[in-house]
Amino acid sequence: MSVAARPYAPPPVPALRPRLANKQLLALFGVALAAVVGAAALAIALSGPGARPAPCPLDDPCGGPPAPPAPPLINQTPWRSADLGYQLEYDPAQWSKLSESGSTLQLKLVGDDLVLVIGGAPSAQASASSVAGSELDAIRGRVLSLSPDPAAENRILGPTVGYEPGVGGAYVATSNGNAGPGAPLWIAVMGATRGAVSAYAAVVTSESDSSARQNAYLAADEVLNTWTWPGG
Amino acid sequence: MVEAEGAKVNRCPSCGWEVPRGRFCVRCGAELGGAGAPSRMRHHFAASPSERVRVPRVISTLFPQLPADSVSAFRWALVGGFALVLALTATRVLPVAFVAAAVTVPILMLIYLVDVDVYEDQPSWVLAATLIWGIVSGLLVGLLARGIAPLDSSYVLDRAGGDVALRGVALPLIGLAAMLAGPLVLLLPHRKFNDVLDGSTFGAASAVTFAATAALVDGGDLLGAGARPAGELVRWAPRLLTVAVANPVVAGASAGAAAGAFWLRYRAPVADRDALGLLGSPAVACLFAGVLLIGSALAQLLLAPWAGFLAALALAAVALVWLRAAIHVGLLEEAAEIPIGPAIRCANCRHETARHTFCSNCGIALRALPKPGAARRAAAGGAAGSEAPS
Repeated sequence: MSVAARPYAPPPVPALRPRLANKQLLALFGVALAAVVGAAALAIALSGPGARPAPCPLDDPCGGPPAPPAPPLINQTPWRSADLGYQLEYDPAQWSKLSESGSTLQLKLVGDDLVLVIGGAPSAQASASSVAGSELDAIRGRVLSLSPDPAAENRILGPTVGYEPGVGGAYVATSNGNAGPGAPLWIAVMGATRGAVSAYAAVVTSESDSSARQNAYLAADEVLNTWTWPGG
Repeated sequence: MVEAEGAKVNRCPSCGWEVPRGRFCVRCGAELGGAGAPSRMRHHFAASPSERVRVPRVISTLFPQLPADSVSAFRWALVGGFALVLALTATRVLPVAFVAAAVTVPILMLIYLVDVDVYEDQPSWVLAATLIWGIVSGLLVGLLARGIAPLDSSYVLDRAGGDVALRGVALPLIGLAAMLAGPLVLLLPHRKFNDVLDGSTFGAASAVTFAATAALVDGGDLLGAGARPAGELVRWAPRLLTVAVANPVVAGASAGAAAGAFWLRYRAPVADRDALGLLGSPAVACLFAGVLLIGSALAQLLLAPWAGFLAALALAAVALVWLRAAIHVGLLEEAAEIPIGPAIRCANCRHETARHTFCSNCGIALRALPKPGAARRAAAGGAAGSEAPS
């Protein structure tokens, strides 16, 4: 480095006082902070998510009951749990596999921020609610805040895994980074038990646009609709 | 040698020089009533003699050139900023609270730099360079964070811990390099900015603006989530306090102390270069600053919000004490055989003191007071000027 130690010199004659009197300083700080916060509030108000779609009228429900179980058409990429035997299919053009193990699979929707994760445990060791709860706890550990989704349109009215009725819920959260809070997240977790296996499916997305999020959920539903339990 | 008018002289038991009578030696800052211990052993913080060096204080450490009269105003401003963050959190306006948390300390830092005229007669380009460096580097590192480890669904479901390693270790180290590069490249080569206090101030200012910008860029998606996203306030409050208090203090104090180590190594008299021990070595200082930043990041990633906040506060306290020690050592740099000047009035205690290095009454280092540019402007505004009438 081309710098050198300085020869000692006495400090300059100090000022009798700084530029600003205390009242000026506090006023300047207040104005500056109010200006930044006000501008942020305005920007947030203008860039917030659009209006939610109107809920279904009581006499004309938008959604229908789950489709009746039918043998899945094997024309996509099958995946089978080596440990627990449940299986499903996914379109490799639509989904990319993030990770897998003997009982878990993580798929990411191509082009959208949505991850579908499935897993399970022998029902002798864990119930449907405990496998779903464990997954929810794991997610909770990586987010700043996780609470039930207050939006009626996101409520899971009949949680099922592989057409097996179970437990589940919809949640909202905010991801937690090293420098502060991050993206808002929407999470759905469901668990069910059939025979010797308890399984869960969780969907996590940061898609803030309501319509895009619903489309992403539909894509996840298509995968979960191919689910078959061990033994049939 | 010019003596302060009317002053009687005493021999300083620490440096051995004859100095005007008073509580403190104007040359070395030692207590004249003491037993002759070296001035560097004194426990009073040279930038704020009413405080101890090893007690962490935010205002007198991040803003060391404030005279006593201004400290309370800065303290109230800081408390007011934090109160605003908590009030916005309590009313669930969480994205706005996040912005307020991120900008409170940087706004105060900007006001401080202007208020005490840190940059003397070159305010515009140095002030702009320091702040723009922090903002631009924070923007770039924030975008890098979003690119390599976005805070999306994959991050939440990452079980292998790869994203935690990136965000907890790699990004803090990249951030430290970015925070230090500005002061070292732009300012260290300028002989005008020779004091350790200059290096610490530049490093802290760059780091504080960097931390705020990086946080806002990294968390930008939150701003599009509507004014009142759902969430548990009991978890949001400590997280936003971490953004408001702990993050800028850890970043500012760590980078300030590390920058001070460079100034101590390359600008201080040879005899003073080892005064800070191992932490005075730039390499060790950078390593330690990196450890503090990594610790703070991992605490926020891996611990529950309140635990993470408390852990980050503890690290902030360590960083503050380190920065105080660096500033203290820098201000106690040994004075050479320069003559003692005429009497001036100390801006800290308002008493008369001979112009040299320390105030003979309160012991503050005169370098840790507003610069003369502020005096000229204050005089233009009606003040009587900086020198006491003789």
